[in-house]
Amino acid sequence: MKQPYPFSALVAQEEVVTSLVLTAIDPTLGGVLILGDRGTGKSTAVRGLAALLPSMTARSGCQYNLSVDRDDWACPCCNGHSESTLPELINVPVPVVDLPLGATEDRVVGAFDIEHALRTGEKQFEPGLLAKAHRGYLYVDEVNLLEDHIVDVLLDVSASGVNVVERDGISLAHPSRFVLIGSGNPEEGELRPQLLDRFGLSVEVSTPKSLDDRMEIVLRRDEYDRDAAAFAEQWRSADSALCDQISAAREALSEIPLTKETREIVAKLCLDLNTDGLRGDITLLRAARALAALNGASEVSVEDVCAVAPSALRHRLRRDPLDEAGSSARILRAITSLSDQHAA
Amino acid sequence: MLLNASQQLSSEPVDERVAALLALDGHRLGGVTLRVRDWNKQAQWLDKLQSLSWPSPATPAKSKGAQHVRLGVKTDLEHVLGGLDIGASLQHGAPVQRIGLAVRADHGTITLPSFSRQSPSLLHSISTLLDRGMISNRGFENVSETPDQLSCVDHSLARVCVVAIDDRIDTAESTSTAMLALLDRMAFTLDLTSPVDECLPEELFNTASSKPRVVAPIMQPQALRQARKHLSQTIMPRSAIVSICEAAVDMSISSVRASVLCARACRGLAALNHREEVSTEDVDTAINLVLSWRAAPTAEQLNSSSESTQAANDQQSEQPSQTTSAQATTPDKSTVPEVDQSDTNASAADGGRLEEQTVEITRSELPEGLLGTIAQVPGKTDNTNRGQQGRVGVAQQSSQRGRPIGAQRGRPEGHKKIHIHATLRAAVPWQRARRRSHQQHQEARHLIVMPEDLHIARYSVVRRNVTIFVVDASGSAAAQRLSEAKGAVELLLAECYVRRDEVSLIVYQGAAARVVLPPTRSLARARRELANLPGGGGTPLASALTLAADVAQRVVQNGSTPLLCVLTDGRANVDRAGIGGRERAEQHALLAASELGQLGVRTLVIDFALRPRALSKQLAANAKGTMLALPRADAASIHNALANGSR
Repeated sequence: MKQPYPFSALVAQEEVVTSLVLTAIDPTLGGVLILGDRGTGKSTAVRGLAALLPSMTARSGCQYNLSVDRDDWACPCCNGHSESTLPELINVPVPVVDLPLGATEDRVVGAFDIEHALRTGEKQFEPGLLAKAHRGYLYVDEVNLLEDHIVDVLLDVSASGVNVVERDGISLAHPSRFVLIGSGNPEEGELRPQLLDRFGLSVEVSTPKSLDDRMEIVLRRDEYDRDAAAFAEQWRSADSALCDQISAAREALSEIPLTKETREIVAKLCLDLNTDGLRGDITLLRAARALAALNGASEVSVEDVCAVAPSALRHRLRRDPLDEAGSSARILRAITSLSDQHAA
Repeated sequence: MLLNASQQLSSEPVDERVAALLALDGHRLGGVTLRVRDWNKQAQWLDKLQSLSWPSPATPAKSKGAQHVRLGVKTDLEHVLGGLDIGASLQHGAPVQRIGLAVRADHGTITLPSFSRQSPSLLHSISTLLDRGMISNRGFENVSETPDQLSCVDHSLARVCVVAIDDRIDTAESTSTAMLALLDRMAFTLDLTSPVDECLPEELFNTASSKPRVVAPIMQPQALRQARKHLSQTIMPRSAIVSICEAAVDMSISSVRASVLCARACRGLAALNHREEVSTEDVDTAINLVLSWRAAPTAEQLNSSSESTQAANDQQSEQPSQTTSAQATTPDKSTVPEVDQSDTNASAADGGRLEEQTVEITRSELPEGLLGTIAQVPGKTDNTNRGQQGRVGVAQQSSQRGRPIGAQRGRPEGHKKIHIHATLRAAVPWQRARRRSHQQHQEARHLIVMPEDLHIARYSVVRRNVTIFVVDASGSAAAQRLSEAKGAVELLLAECYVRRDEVSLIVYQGAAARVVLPPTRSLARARRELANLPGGGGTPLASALTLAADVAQRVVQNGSTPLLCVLTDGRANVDRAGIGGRERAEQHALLAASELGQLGVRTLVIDFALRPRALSKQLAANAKGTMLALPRADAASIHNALANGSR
């Protein structure tokens, strides 16, 4: 297997890095939308993060990556076994599944397994990308260009966490909870509002403006090209430190209370900005809590809320489709006025 | 800024240098786009490339050396990535896997002909292939003893190098996002079109008496192997990286990937020259090879190239900036268009030539749902399609892509996909009977499938609308109500947003019309282009309508429905050839409009002159479309006019 580029070795994409780490701590945040130029290391970041995360346990041969503790659905490979003959539990890496543009619905949802039918004459379901991505990441490059009928599927599954298949004479429903990572360039097309709303966080990336950052990227990439294993070794300690931090934050997450004060701040901010729906409030709260957990704090501070507010709310502001004025600027203004009030 | 292959860099021609680099480290460098229309030249270069010694694949099963694969124009994704071979599987009664062409081309090259006509899904898969260098397999554990069997691995390596052949003649053909994504991942672009000798008759005759090509390898295998060994040990000084990054910043290349590719090319060049350390000469060459062609932002290339044709027509105009010597080691900052400020830059460049004034957008009055109403006007070619306001488009049946809507009996020929479930279901009831009648199948366990069982899948695709705005930005228009016209387009753009239409923008002024924005879903960009549109110059209405017909035809080819929206002040004073003269200009414009009418493109002519002119009405009549005078804050009268027009 090719050695992925170490996550800690990423240069100057703080917001992307933080957002990805937050979804690793709290997967219920609902995914990250990364908007920006080409060649800014979007997919490198996603792959790097997945390689860094602690591996998960699943039954050997399970095509659905089922979690033994959390999923009560029995996949064909685990089903019909007595306790003693169950496949053994193994550690598997966190999956990162690419959803290519132009993928057919069959490939995404899963379909009738022709091979199996030809071999045995039995009807069997062949799981698709949604099953593969369970408990991991589903990465859609150029998400704004995805065909509508695939978007419909994603909307449904990412909301419910269950992929319901009723087609080709097959009916089943298997768990499919994944963190949706979308990337794209807004210059090339608009994203459907429903899908936009599904993403918990949205980040705008741009090419590093400073020459030093660019040089550092080229330098590191060159080292990585020359000897990927040695380069990964060099960053191993940083990666594993971050991994420990994430594990600790996951543990601590449930311990961190959402105080009335925090909720008030969040509500006030969302009211100020007149965001659509309540999903913004919820995501902002969760993201702030995940950030507090990451920093090892015992409660959520105003700073935590302010730090994640741009990425949690940026894509939820009501706007004129043809208006180009940045949403980020409006959020920053709201934050400033809020912290002024808070200080007073 | 593009390097021409005939130019020399150091001692070797550029194209040989590129070939050697690709043979050395093809997968990491991504590949090359060949701009070439002449088949001979293309074949010659590919021969040069393939005659080099490529690394031998690691898998012993394919020890014959690296393979070079050429895809077709409509190659199935399954053939490229591998998958179940349905025909063979049905024949054997057992699943037969097909090894993907990409896996066969591991360490070799994939040639993509007709770059601009490849499907986006294929281009995206190849981009991912360049990123990852492997293909994930699925369910290969139980593959039986068929000739094409694969080992039980979860991925196969496919470290390929892409040769994309860009044979576009017409630069107005849009560069799709899938193409841009792949272009970004490929280090080089070679221009093998040299207008001078391409038309030489001798060459044509030579083709006729084609003798077998003998290709002398441009580099000895031994030397290449040596270079490959040294590649990772070559020292990359920090100063080299500094120059690469500075050059990239100077050229406003936003993608960092370009700089990374450039660094790889440096290392390759040093290794080819048996140097232990990357020299400044290597850096300069690499910058020329990898960065220079990116300096013109791809989205703007269309503009600049159509501008250059425009400039060529216009004899008074100065030479276009593209003739800047590509040999300049560090490209001059002033000649390089900048990505971020492309708008201001473009208008600044125009400003020297024409007396122009940027016209503000003012609010304009247009009836709501105008485009929807126009789309309802029955067109000549298809009067069954009735679009509605706020509707996305017209659903159509297709046998290739879209939302599956069941199956029908039929053969999976061409691009029709077999519907396995329906096929098997059709075959099952007959199994006992068939077993009885076919002696040889008596013992067979597998299903007997006969040709009459075959079903093909049907899909429903939504046919998108593409609204093409043709905007008059001439001097006379600027004097009239260009600002209100812009406002009108903006209102229509908002309507396009609701209908999720794509939009395209054609502007005519000066000597000829140009496509400012090829069909895109980004309305924000359309709006910005519009806002920055300066007015001034003559009115080449005929050229605008002809160009619009071209774009509309292309839209139809892509399976969408074009809707033309022509904004004019009812005057024309530049004819098709770019020569002034009102009478000829108007004649040509009317002719062009009739051609539009014959194509059956739905057309709306909006006249924004203070007093609507006869020409606009005649244009609309010739184009079998609707004419509308831009109303002065009186929406009701427009609705009436529209109702009369669409009668």
